Amino acid sequence: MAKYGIIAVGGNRTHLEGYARSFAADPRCELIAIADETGLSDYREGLNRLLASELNVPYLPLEEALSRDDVHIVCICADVERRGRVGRLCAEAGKHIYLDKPLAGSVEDARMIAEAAETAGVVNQMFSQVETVWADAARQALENGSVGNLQAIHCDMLMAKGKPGTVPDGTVRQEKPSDGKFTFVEAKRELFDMGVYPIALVTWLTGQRVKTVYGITGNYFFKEHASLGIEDFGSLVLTMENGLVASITSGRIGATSHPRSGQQRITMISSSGIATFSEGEPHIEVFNDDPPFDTPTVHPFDPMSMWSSTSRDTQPLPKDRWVPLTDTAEHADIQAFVDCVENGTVPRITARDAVHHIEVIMAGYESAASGEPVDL
Amino acid sequence: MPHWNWDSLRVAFQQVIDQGGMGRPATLRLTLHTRGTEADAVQNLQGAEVAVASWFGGKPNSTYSVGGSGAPNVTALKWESGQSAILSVSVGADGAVGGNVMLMGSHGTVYHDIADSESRLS
Repeated sequence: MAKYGIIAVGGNRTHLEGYARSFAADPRCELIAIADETGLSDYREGLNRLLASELNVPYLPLEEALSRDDVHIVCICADVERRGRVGRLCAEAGKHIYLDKPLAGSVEDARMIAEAAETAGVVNQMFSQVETVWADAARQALENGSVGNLQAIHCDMLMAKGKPGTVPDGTVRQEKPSDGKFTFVEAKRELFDMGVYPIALVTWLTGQRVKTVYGITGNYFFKEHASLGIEDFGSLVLTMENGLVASITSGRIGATSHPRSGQQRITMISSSGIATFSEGEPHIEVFNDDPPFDTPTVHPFDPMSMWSSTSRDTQPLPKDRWVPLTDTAEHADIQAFVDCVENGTVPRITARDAVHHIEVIMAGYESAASGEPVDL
Repeated sequence: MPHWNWDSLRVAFQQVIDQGGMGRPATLRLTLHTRGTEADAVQNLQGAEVAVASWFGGKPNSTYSVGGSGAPNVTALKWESGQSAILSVSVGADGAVGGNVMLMGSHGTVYHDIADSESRLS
């Protein structure tokens, strides 16, 4: 019998597709059910039930699932707009919580989760990139002194997916402060969805909070984002509390724009010079007469190729020309979380850390709208 | 390499743009760290601004900078047409030098890892 019972909130076309399988793959864990709030849209409940069916577990109302004594951990991939109340409910039930990124759609909701988790004393972690081989190498380089006195840090997190070149000519983005809407079928707000990764990396690596944010957003690649009025790209210039300068780029740049999943990189400037740490580096390169990767067939319900469940329908060619010498284990972040539950230790990225990420992102939108830097 | 030879890089990227290899240039990410003085850093930043203005078809209408004066500089540029760039330029007395360039266009992206050996091209 597994040590920890797991309830997973969400369904297909959420990150739960991967997270639930990762929990199920950990021998310490048993996936007990997929669960969610009642009164959801038919679309969302149908996709939740579909994942439960694929994983051969029941689909339960969330409050019923939380009342079970054999449930110890809840993995939460509720729609962004519902994360605040779902996160609080699960923490108040005394369950350890593993949280999808970004933590919530508003600073208030994010704080609500962090405060509930701290009050309940449950282990809480948000998914991030800090458990990857390349991010861990950056942290070790800082700790062992091979990267000297840090002077600046730059981080890129770009996703090479979707069919680019479709944004209408002459599109010029005019940003507006967040309206709190983040869940769309076709696309995501990319500064929000991808920007959280480099913000988490920069704050984790430096141990510093952000003091000032200057943001730029764009509609550079995709018609889907432009038609929804959301950005497909965002960059931030940051000044940290200790005066360190930093910058991030984030977004979605098109399936054929990178030999792997996209440029994911940390660049550090220090008294030792420049040092870079990248996903997929070091790697070997393969040249052969296999057909080259091409933009996958556009799925009508997932044109940005966000979900593995829709990729099963479109069967994209593999990107296999770069082969990393070392790679991150698929389940590393969730294994690290279960380690923390087992050992009673604090995860590298907690809900409290993630509140600050939301503060930075919202300041980024505010800055991009006004054209002026925003102080936190 | 206290100074960077911008001409060879500017021309190579321009060829890709002119051949339609990336569609419309949309946004640039450039990081460069060299040996040298603050004056060298200023010169490198100016060189980067000239190159990106060339690729984007004109000068930006908005500039925001942090750092500089002995510390690394980060400059954000925006164009009336919506294009943008983040330029990060710094100098040091010793240690590793180099950087990276990523020019993202509507149809594709051009990458370049800047190596110390490129100073010999100037």
